[in-house]
Amino acid sequence: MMKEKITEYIDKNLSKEEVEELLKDNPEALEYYHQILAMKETLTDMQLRSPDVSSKVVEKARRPFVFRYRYVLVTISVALIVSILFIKNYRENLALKEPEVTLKTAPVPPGGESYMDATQQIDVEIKKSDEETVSTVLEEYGDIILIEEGENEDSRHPPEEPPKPTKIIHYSIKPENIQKVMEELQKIEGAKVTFPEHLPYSSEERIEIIINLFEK
Amino acid sequence: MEEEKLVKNLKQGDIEAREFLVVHTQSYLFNVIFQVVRDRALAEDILEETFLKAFKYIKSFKGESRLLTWLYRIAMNIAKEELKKEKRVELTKIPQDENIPAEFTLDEKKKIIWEGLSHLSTEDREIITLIDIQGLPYDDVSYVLGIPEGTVKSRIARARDRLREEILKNNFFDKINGTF
Repeated sequence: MMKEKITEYIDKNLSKEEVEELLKDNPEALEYYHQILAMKETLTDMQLRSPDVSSKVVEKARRPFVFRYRYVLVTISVALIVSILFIKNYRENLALKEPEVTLKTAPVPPGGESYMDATQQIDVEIKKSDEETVSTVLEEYGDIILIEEGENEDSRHPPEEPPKPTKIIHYSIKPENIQKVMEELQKIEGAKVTFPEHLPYSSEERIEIIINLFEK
Repeated sequence: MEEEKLVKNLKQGDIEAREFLVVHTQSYLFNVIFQVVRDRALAEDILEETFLKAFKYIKSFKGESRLLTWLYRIAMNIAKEELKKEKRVELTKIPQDENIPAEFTLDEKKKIIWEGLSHLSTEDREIITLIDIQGLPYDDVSYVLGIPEGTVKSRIARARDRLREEILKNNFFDKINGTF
């Protein structure tokens, strides 16, 4: 209690009259008073000069602000570039929607002519008696997709002639096999191959050969 | 500058207001932080961090306390966090000369007090700094620390008494002119 009162008195929160009695007849209290007072006087003089951080702090506080806007600017720029690239790519894709056909010059068949035309169909006429030979060639290089059998009403035969039994084979081959197949078919005696002048085909599409086996 | 206007300008990110705040409060804050952490470089870092946090969170300042009190609390929170980290590191260290400031080394009395303070708790050093070094009245300290004035009185009395005992060990009072 004595210590608190002295402390309060030193801090000017008590009047002299309030502690006078306490200090007057109490040497211990008086000593304590002087000690705390001396201690306080030294402490009061112990304030350190603060470093001036004002410019440093204000500058640092501004930096995140600048960074934030720089970040926004970079984000907008990236978004813009991505959008432009996307639109450009989208337009290109639209232009490519029509199937792209890679035209290649097919090899010229022996005895044939250079061909590049707007059809992928080759007509072949072969005698019925050579059917077996034809079938062997066809099985080796491609797929038979349809066989039509019936009376011949083909315009290639004169109308005055009576209808003859016919067999038409729709045959599909890969482009790279065309030369080999043509060579084999042309080896057959009397085979008549009608090539278009030009034969367009893509490297991925198959070519249809229509083989008309006719009665002699 | 009136506090209300200062707060308004700070909330708008006004640079002049920021400078004003730092210039007018840095000395007070630095001394309190320094007496708590007792490391000049660390105190300076905490001081900077205090202002940066204050600028960042000023919009959340509702004016329920004085701006200085608010700043003080930010500073003390950072300082106490730093002390916790330091304590973890200090466990493996040999006690050092407590980073005595150059200003105190030539003054025997100040040196003894500095050393005496190092044996006190953070709370004791804090209240002695506020009242004796900074010269704040009890009501301000009550406001800053968020404790009743009566508690301020008893706490400062106890803290001074402990410091007195510490400095007695180093014959502080013998070095003062006069006898008690």
